[in-house]
Parts: sequence; structure tokens; C-alpha cells
Amino acid sequence: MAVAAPDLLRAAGGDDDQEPLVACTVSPTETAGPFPTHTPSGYMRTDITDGRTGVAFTINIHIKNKNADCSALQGALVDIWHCDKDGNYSEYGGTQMQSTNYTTVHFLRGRQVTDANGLVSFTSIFPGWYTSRATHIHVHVYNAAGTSLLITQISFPEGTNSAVATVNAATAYGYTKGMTGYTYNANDNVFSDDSAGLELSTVTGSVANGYTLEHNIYVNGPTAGLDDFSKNKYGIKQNYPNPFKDLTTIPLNLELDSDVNVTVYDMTGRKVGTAYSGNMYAGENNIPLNRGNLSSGTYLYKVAIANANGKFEESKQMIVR
Amino acid sequence: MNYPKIRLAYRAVIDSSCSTAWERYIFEDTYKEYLMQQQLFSNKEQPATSFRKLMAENPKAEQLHFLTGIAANSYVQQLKGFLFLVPDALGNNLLPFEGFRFDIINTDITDISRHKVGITFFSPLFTYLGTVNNCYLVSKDTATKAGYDTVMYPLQPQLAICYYEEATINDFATP
Repeated sequence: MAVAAPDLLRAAGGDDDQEPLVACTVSPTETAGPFPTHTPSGYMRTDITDGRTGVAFTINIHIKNKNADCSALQGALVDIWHCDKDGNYSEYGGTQMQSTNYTTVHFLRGRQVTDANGLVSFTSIFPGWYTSRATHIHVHVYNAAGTSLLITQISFPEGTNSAVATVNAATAYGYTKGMTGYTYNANDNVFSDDSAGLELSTVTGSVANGYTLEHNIYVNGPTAGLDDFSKNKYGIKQNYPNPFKDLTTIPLNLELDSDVNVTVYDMTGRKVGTAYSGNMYAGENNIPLNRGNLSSGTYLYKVAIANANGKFEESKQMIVR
Repeated sequence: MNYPKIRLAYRAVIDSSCSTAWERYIFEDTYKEYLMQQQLFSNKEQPATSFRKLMAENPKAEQLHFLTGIAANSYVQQLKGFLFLVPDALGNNLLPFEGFRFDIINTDITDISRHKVGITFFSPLFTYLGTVNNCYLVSKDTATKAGYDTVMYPLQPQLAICYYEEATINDFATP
């Protein structure tokens, strides 16, 4: 019996080919998979609300590099996460601090890359609070390669007309706790020692128009002049030309001499050939790939590298005309 | 007649031997995400190389199942609620799913070939009419009816019933 593979996303610029019919076999992994597009991490987004309601809130964070005269750090990855208006995080395994258990929704979490001004901006809702903690936002800053630079939290200004006090009184927007039982910054186990206010943000706006948070975070970024090597110590790029008719080239940059294996699979996951298998020197390499007997269509090339730093694999799609 | 209701769950295991594009993208993207997220829990000078070692050192690392799984999100969304890994007995109906849960079986920050993850897909509620010819005989229709349109999903190792609800009591039963 035959199963038509699901007709899902096409790679950009790909031929409008029909998915081949494949036999339905006992082993599930042999049935044809969908035709997915390679997307950035599910985290990468500006709007992190995922349907959570509350007072509109824009979060602007400026990342500055201590090792470069505190100038803006471009290309840094910034993750933020915070609780919803009721004090709940998107995360399973509820702790004592949460009375509700959300298991499948990744709300109020997001990632952005800093621009030339070191800025990342998120669209969210004003956070609520939970027992024993003041209102806060978690931040994790990485360099472009994904190495952690800083894990920190942002605190909020307090006082009679502060955003925290005003929003928590806004019952029309669903904030029901008010400030009863609230832990203020001075008593908070994370912020109580921040006498210099380094973790304190600036918050402006109103309940009707929404609030905006501005905050500078200083990290030990790359020292000027040194290359920021990828943690994986290699770089594999898209083959060119792509699509191709007879010959294409896969660029591969290696920091160390490595064992390299390049395998080609069709879209059903069947191995159709080996483009390269052997040793390669550190530096820039170019792997030629001949079309051989491959029929027109989309294929996956998997580059597997083994060297003193460990083992790595990365796959990309290519199209044969 | 009233029938019990069930939900089916299917666990897909994705490791370095997988070669379909969907599995490879999940495999590689979740590995990269793990390398980033494990920094929240590991010792900066001497990070635990494997996930199991990290869990032993820091029980809070249990959150990594959830945090790493966010990288798989976009690929699961692209399936649009139908799991291509589980066709029905006829081959033209895929198992629908409403939710999923990601878990890390194990991984190693120095060796991608040891990365192994699982995704459990949960179906919506079905009316369960029994097991026929080594297949679950179910209907997507959960209202009580005289006759049902049914689908048959073959019994297989990674597919199980994860929720069971008794048939509701007949209105004419004695109180």
C-alpha cells in the first residue's frame, strides 16, 4: 500500500516537484517525511505574548561591551523570560510558587540578536508577581557563537506612581493581586544587594497606552581585535550554485585538521551517495559535488566532522535541476 | 450504546541515525539549543559533558527538557497537526495530534552523535470501539451515535493509549 508524503513547505526557490509515493513499512522512520523549511530557533521572535493578556509592554535592552569601552555589542543573542499577569511561567513541573500548570505553551519567552546599536526589543505584557519575589525579567546574554556571557535579572522601579503599583491595581486588565503580600526590591533575595541600582530599569508610559522599559546590560564581550570563533570550531555554508545542474561546491571552514564525511540523502531519508570521506586540513576547504546519477529534486547533504574538539554534524538542503 | 473514550500517544525517538529532513533539522537544532541552554545549569569551569551527569549534579537541569524543546517547536508546527509517522491501516489518514512533549534521552556537549531526544505526540479524544485485526478501531466523532465513521491505527511499539474514560452511564440505568 502506498502513502502520499504530506505536501508541506517547499524550500525557497525550489522546483514545484510532486512528493514521490512511498511504501508504508513497519518501521515508522522509513515513511516519507514532510518537506520542512529550515527555520531559526523557535525562540527567535519579537512578540512573545503567545496569547497572554495584560497591559501592553515593550522591553528595550541595550547590550554594552565592557571590553570595548562599553560600546554597543552587535550580534549578541539575548534571551528573556518572565511570568504572566498571574505570576505563572510557561514551564512544566509547577513549583510551589505556581498554582496553575501550563505544559505545552512557551509563552513570554523569546530571543533576539542585538543590532548595530546593541539593541533588542520585545513586545510583551507587563509581568505580574509571585510570592517572595519582586517583579522581574530574566535575561541570558550569549555571544554570537552561543557561549554564555551573562545571566542576570532586571528589577522595576517602585513607589506610589510607579508602573508596578499602577499596573497591579489595573483589575480591568486582569491584574487581581494588587500589592498585598508583595516583596519589594529591598527584601528581594536577588535585588536586595543591588545598592548601586545596576539591575534597575527605567519604565515609562501608562496603562492605557502601554509601558516601555529601557535598560542597559554590560557584558564581557569579545576583546577588540580577536576573532570570535564559533564554539563548534567550524563553518559550513550553503552549496553554490544552488540549484545546480552538474557540479556544485560546498564551502567548509575548519579550525583544526578534521575527519570529514559528507553524505547525501534524498527527501525520504534514503542515502544516495557519499560526496567526501577523509581527512581535511584546517582552514578554508571546498568540497566538489558531482550530480552523478541523481535525478532532479531536492536532497539533503549532511556534513559530519570529527576532530580534537569533538564531533559535529550539520545538514543543509540542495536542489538538482 | 456508549463507548469509552481514549487518547493515543506516539513517541518519536530522534537520534543521529535519522535521515529524513524533518528529523535531521530537529536533531541538529535541538542540539545547538542544548549547548546554549545547558549553560544555565552547568559549572562554568568544568561543565558536565553529558545531560545525565548534569542532572545528577544539578537537579534543576530537569528544566532542559522544556527549554531545549523550544527549538523543535517550529518543525512540529509545520506538521499542521498531523503526524506523518503514523498513517492509518489504509495509508490515507495520518494520526492527528493536539499537543506534544519534548524530552532529552541523553546528549553530550562534545559529541553530537550521542544526542538522542524524544517527542511524544498526543491525539485528540477518540471514541474507542475496540481492537480489531491488530488495530485500534477509533472514531474522531466523540458524540454518542448509532453508527460511527472509523479509522484504524495499527498497534505498534511506540503507540499507546495514554488516556481512558469509561463510557458514560446510560440515562435509563437505575440510580
